[in-house]
Amino acid sequence: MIYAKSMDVRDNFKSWCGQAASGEIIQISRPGNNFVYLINQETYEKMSMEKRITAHTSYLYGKDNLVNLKRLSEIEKLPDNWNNNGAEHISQQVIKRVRKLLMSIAYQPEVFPTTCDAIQLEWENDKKEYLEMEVLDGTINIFQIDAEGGEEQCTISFDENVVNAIVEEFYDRTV
Amino acid sequence: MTEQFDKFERLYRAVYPPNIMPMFWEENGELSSAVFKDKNSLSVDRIGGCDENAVVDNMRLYFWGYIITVFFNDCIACNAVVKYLPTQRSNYHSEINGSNRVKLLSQSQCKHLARVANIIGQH
Repeated sequence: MIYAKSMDVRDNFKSWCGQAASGEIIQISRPGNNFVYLINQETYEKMSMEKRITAHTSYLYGKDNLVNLKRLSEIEKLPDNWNNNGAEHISQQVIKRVRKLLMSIAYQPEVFPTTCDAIQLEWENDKKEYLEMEVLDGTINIFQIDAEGGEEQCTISFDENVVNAIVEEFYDRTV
Repeated sequence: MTEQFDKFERLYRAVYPPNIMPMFWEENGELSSAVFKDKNSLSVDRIGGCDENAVVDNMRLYFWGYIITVFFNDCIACNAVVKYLPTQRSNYHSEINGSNRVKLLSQSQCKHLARVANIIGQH
């Protein structure tokens, strides 16, 4: 990196541009440590891409999200008879639906396979309430236990917006 | 062995330990209710008045991992049905069913059993 004052650059801009074009990064100092950088197109595109990748990765793979996506990949690889009692592998349709949910959901659950060609998602909030969703191909069996031990059970069609709303409502109760 | 179960009769099931199959275990080390969801029926071995070691030793011939146990009463408490169904593999073999008509346990029944289950040993 080359350091320069703005008046130096102003007096010989063509020469500084030439250096930047050859790959140098030129840091131009301005009052109040408000630096300006002169870089070539290749460097700009590289930095821009890295920034986008970092932002995208962070969005997609937060810590819990990454753990769950890894877990889902392990579940995806389960062979037939994975429970030693004749369970079949989990179907791709179910895996895809759960992956879609994990990518979009604000509160990450714990993820478990079941032998019913389903994946079970579990949440517990600060009030020790319990929310369980059994994701099948097309439907979701929902089961909740509230702080007093009251239970509710229902089945809904697969809809990630509805799932998100239910999970957010589950966590909003603790606020 | 009679078809009747004693209220406090223990029922045993083998479960993979967390280091082999972490996907059955919750982050806090507790068992997920997913373990009790088995569409081919939830097979267990009963103690049936015998020595616990005899039942567990017989299971160890066929299964690997932790042995978890629930009481017959725990099943009744969540309206599950326990049936004594001996097989070639085991004279102790039984099934925990959701009801007399449905083999699969409900989400509520699975959660109840997961909460009361005890781990008695690993092999």
